[in-house]
Amino acid sequence: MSSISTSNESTILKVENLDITYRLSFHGMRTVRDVFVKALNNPVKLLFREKPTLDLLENLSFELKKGERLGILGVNGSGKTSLCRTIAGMHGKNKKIKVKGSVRAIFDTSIVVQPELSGAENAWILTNLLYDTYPKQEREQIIKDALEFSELGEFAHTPFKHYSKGMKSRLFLSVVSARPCDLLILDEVFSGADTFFNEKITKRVEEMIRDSGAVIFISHQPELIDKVCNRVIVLHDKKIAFDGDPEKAVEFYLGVNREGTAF
Amino acid sequence: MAMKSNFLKIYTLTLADMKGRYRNTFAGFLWVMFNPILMFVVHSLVFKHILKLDVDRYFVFLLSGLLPWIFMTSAISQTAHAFITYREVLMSFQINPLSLLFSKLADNFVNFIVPFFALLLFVLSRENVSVQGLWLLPINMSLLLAMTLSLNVLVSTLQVFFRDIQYIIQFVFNFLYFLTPIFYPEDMVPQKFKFLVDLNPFYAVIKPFQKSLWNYEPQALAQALATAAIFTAIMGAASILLWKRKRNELYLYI
Repeated sequence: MSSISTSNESTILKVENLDITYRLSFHGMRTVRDVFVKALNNPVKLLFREKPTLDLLENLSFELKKGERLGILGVNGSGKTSLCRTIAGMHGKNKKIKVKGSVRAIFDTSIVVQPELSGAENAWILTNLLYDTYPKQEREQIIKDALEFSELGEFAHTPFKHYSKGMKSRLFLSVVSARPCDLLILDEVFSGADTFFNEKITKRVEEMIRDSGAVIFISHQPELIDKVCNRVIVLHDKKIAFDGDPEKAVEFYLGVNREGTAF
Repeated sequence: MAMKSNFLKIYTLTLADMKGRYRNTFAGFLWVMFNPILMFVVHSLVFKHILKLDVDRYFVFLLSGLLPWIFMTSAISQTAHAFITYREVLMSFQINPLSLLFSKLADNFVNFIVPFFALLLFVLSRENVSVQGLWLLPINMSLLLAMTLSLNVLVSTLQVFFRDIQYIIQFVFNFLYFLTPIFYPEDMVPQKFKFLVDLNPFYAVIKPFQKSLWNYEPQALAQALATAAIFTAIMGAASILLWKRKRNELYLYI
């Protein structure tokens, strides 16, 4: 991932001819014993075997401009999350991806960093990991606001291991949604929190989405994509099969997959 | 800025790890101090007083070999499973997986440095230690850290792909414990088995400690430091190579 040097000031993300391929060097060998057995059976075959690859996406190109809220639709395994992880730089630097500004990517909202520590302490950890470029005072303010917003009350000081999935989501989403950023990537973030809190956090996440430069949003719920996004791409058969208006994208997505599953 | 932010992440994870570990324990950090000190006492008792090993200034010798050994083996054992243990964290948001290894290393280094200096004070009160050698401790420590980090990266990356690595390293540690001159001096090793010591990457970074504190000799120390630097560079290059090749696949297997 590198910074954009194009003349277009409003471009936040530029993806050019991106392939996402995983080399499966150790496919079918989960233990050293497996390697040993294969080496004994046929050492030449083991050394010179053709290593399988998993080709998720091929030759993908798109741009994201300021104010765009891009939804990504695709069936399981179509490469939505891998694309987002690659854009977020989780797979290392990629010259085919150029981002202007800060990126924040969230893929799960009920994680446990340190189960023995309290919710407040975990909020401190998450804040330091997610807002690492912010000054200390602002990070402290984020923690304070998040604890207040999460409405955990006295539970904020009990060990995180005793939290329900909903409570974890409350705290995590409260920290995550505290500040906007240049490029925000959200993968199924609305799942997890309880019904009563969901309304409150949805409003806050929507505010963050509105204030962020550009957003990439993944959901398996087409109606949510339609509500949040102003542009949608559909990933199908390793490519962008549709790019445009959310309503038409949802129709296209449902149509393509109905055809695909019709035996 | 990137360095400052990486430092904050490593500091946060290290502190969180330490706090998490000692929460609800009776003596907290003292347990960590206690283990190397106990090992030091037991080794002294067995080899100096029971087996009556004829080694001059045995406390200094033991301190310079045993403590770095304990640091390396516990850091590697505790880190081997790090990527799998922190799977949720790694999959949930942007965090460089290497930050986790750095934080585990920092945690273990604190656990090593405190008993090391506590024992050094005790040893200084009883036996002679080379003062010039003491000044070289930061160099020795840096090489020890670099080598341990390289081994951490190798082991924890391989562990993601082959889940029996954690058992293999325990076996290797048991084997190397006897083959590494940490409770007996290197010159006791017969010539025909010398290659086992010379090829031992653990001993490569432990030897400068012995040459600095126990038998200070500038020429031998310079040679030991050069060997340690070469071993560390090779191991570092191997770990970078493996990491670059496997980083992408990591998310599929953890």
